[in-house]
Amino acid sequence: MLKKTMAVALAGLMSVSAFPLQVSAEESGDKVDITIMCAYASEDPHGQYVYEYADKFMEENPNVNIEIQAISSNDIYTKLAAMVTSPDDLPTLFFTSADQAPTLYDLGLMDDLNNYLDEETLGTFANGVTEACTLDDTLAFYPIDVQPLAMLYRTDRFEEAGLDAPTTWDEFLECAKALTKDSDGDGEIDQWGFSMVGSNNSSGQSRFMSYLWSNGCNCVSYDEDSETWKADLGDNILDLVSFWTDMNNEYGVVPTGITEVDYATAANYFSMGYTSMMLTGSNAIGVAYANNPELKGKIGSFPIPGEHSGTMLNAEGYALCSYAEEEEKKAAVDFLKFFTNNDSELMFWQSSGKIPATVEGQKAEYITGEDYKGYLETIEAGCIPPVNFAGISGLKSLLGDAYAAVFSEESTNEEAVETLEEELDTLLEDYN
Amino acid sequence: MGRIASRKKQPHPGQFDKYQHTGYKFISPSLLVMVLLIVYPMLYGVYLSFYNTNLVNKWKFVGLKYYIEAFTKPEFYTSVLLTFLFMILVVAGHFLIGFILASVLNKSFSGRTIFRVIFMLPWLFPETVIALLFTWIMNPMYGILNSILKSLGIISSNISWLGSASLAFPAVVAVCIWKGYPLVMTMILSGLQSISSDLYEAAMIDGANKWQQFLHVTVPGLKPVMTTTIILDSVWWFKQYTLVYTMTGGGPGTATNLISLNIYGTAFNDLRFGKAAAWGIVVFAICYLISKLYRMVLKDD
Repeated sequence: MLKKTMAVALAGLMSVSAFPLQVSAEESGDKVDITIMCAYASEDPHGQYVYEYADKFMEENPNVNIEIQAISSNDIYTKLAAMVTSPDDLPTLFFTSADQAPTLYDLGLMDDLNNYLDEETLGTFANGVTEACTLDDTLAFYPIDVQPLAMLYRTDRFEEAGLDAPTTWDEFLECAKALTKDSDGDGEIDQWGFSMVGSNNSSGQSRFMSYLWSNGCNCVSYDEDSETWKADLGDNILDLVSFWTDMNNEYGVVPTGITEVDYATAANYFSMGYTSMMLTGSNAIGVAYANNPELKGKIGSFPIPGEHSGTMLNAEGYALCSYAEEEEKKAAVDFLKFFTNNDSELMFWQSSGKIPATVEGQKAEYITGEDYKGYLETIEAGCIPPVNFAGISGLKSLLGDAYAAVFSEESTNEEAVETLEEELDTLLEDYN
Repeated sequence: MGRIASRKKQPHPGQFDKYQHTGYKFISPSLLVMVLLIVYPMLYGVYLSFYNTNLVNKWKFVGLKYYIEAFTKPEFYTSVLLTFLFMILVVAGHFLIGFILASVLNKSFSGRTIFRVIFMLPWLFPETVIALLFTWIMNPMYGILNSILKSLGIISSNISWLGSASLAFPAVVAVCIWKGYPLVMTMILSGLQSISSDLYEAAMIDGANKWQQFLHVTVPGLKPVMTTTIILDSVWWFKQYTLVYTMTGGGPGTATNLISLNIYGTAFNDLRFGKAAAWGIVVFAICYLISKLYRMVLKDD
């Protein structure tokens, strides 16, 4: 009898508890859920504005619910690569940068935004921006900002040392040597000329690739006749690798323990005054001012030395996941438009140091100073078009392995280049 | 009589009785889970290893290419050998430190419980926390290790512990020894406590000195515990990923590029899943051979 009574009571309890759930499910039936895998949100000081813009958008669009997943850029790439085999859990929007886009596009993750954006919206982007996000005529991602690489430098130290902004890599090395010194006279070097990102990760590899591009080394190029990618390291690859690695192993113009210096560390060294030049996107300006406000007025920038363009426009933004539902895609595109237009103060871009992707944004007061000069000159001079090689991530890994092997004195430059050439051939076999 | 009755109940060969049916029913959920979580992924891994694939829209049959590469290119087997060296050094370190500390803690002294807790602490911290802690300690610019060594006059300028090919591997091994010794210490301590003091008394009466007591009483007494611990510890550190990845990412160069990091990078950074699967299968075969070897050695026990 006791058992029966308990069974009836429990059944009743379960029915009652299920009732409100059913109601809430019905209520939320009209809501569109958008998930955003966002690298911006995981960064300071600008990450807060992503949440702020999402909250404002949800206020204005109560039928839309936005969930932001703050994940670092490299982790997003890895996570998406793993998730693509079970597409149900993929986000509606995900952050991507120009160098990750070809691989994610090759995986079929990116919907063509041309189908969702009208001419008026496309016309709001600055010159060359939509081209920088286009792969095979597909607008692969919605540009939020552009991050061409340029060289940040300490104008006060250059003036003090009587140096001019270098235009060649040899001049750059001379400047780096002049700015490497024992500033407190204790017999140890405590100030280095170049804040190199020497870690073997995406940040370090991208910078090394930029350096190679600026010297005319394309790394890989597409052969229209055979419709295959081919190695294009050039004849002077050994000299180029040696020059880069000698900055640590021979001349010591980069901080101690260079293989441990990732982007965040290099940016901190620059902002704390340990280093005087840094090859970086303009976001490092935001980091520098946030960490050390006294640097305002003491930072300038100049284009990457070398005879060739050393950088893509490096547009960054959000890609629309091709696996999302149609109504989710429409709501997501509305949010993207809102993201770029709702904040007249451009707080997201201003606090991060990033350059807006829109024509109006690029007229902003905060990018008119000496600190952004090199970046605007780089954009003006024209950047490398997007490299639509699906194996770009593997290529960067090989480049990273090459310089890391020499930095750690595990290999000589000759051995590292030999391995690079062999492994690049194997990589191209897999991607052709 | 009972023997005859039980013989009667035995079914003919190849015939199930109701008890066997019940047995199979009991194990079927576990069997199903094992097939889904172990057998299927393994067979799928074998299938993948014959393809150049990104798992989505590229499936190019390459046959045994990646297996041949594994044995002909140094990238794979140097990484496997490095992993073996890493495992041997770390496990040896655990046993050395674990044995010394367990012997000390097996003696009676005041505050023994506090020391037992203190010595267990490294085991309680998450691997990522320990990796980050030691990365900061060994940082070449502001790490406390360089600062201490300089103040003692042992070094004259800062050393990049994790940035030098010759120092990174020993540094990582040292951290892994520090992280993992408490498990071995605990196991050995429990083994020591299970050896009866009567055996030592008997050995003393027979004229055995301390070394002979250790050799003929302690070691045989600990053998069952030690064999279990050595297998567990070896397998655990052979597949180590988190600590090494967080500290060095496998670098500098290939100095700490253990096979687990190598396979992960090949799969999820380069999206060469076929190659990674082939290497995973070869590593599985190696691990299987090791387990066979262990079984052969331990057969008498």
